[in-house]
Amino acid sequence: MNKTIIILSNDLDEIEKLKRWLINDSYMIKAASTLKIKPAELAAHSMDLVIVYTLADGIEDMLGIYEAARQNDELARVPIILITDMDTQKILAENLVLVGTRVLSTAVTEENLVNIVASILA
Amino acid sequence: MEKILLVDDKPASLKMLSTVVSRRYEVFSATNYVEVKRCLDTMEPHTLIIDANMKTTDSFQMIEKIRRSSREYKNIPVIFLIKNPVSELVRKATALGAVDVEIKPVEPLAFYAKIEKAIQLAIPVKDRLDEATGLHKKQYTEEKIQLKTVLGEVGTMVMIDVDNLSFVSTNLKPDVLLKVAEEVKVQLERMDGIVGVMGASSFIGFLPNISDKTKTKEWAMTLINKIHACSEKNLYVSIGLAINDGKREHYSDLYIDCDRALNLARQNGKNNACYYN
Repeated sequence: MNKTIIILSNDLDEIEKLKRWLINDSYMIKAASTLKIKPAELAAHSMDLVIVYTLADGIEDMLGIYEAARQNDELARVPIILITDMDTQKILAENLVLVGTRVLSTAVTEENLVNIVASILA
Repeated sequence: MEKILLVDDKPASLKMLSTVVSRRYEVFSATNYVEVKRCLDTMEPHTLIIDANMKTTDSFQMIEKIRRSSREYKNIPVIFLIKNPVSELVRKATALGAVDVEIKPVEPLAFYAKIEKAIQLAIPVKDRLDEATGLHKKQYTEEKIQLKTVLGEVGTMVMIDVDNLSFVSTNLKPDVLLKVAEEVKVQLERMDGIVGVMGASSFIGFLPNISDKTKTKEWAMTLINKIHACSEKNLYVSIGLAINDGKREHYSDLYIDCDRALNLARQNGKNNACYYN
């Protein structure tokens, strides 16, 4: 059965790049070019993985997505990959634990991301 | 909205924690004693959260100094953020009257729960609770529901009006008001809801994660029966219900819908639960 991946970012170019990287017969990829997703809108989709791409300025919205997912019975266990800049990644690691969330740097390569996604969805 | 003062000498960490905490509370930040003192004097925060591993200042000495500086701050709830659960740090924090110690890095939802507990200590009972029923006051309850609306949390807002309750409890059976309030509380909390008083004989609440009209109506009818059982004298119950689908922009829209539903319930006859649409 196809696994559904949802990509969320304010950056259209990054969404297109991630789509290109992850295109695969086993995945159904959906995307939204905004991080301002209401919990009900997020819960309306069934999904196996959420990928959020944002720099520091979108972290608050990312936290909204995280809270909405973790507080929803059906989404509580859905893994999240957050791709962000190295500084934000470092500050996040020092200050926050986001359950079920893998934080990657924007320097992540196509090969690395594809492997990480495959291992999460395996 | 409750006010939180965050103290950390690392601007990046301060900004990150501020981003988290400001999702639910009004946040003020400070990096040293002078800024902390200024914030305390002008903003009157409900809780202070301080990093215990600051390099430029000793957070324990700072809290001690704050506690000594004024009677007002003697009991301000303090949460210490520590990197490792070193027993010595925990002991020092406890000795200074810390209400909690949170290990960094923090998980946002667990962190909110700790902050909420601390805030309860900061707001005097008389300001938070209604004297007659022991339930939360209207403003306090509404602020909680409002936050749920802003955060887009799905659920159902509830307004309960008990006709004849004031008369019966004032003139015939003084304990009926308490019994009814307790029953309303039990039925809301059974569903993990929040509840407070709205008027002398009315209540306001929120049932989280429930947006099924049939289920909420069943719940409301159970509540009506339970309220009836509180007194042999006739109490007439009207319940207004309004769904927060998580897409509403303003709390006032939810409030108006619920209020209209309550009026509809009253018009449709006693002991009724209604949605406006």
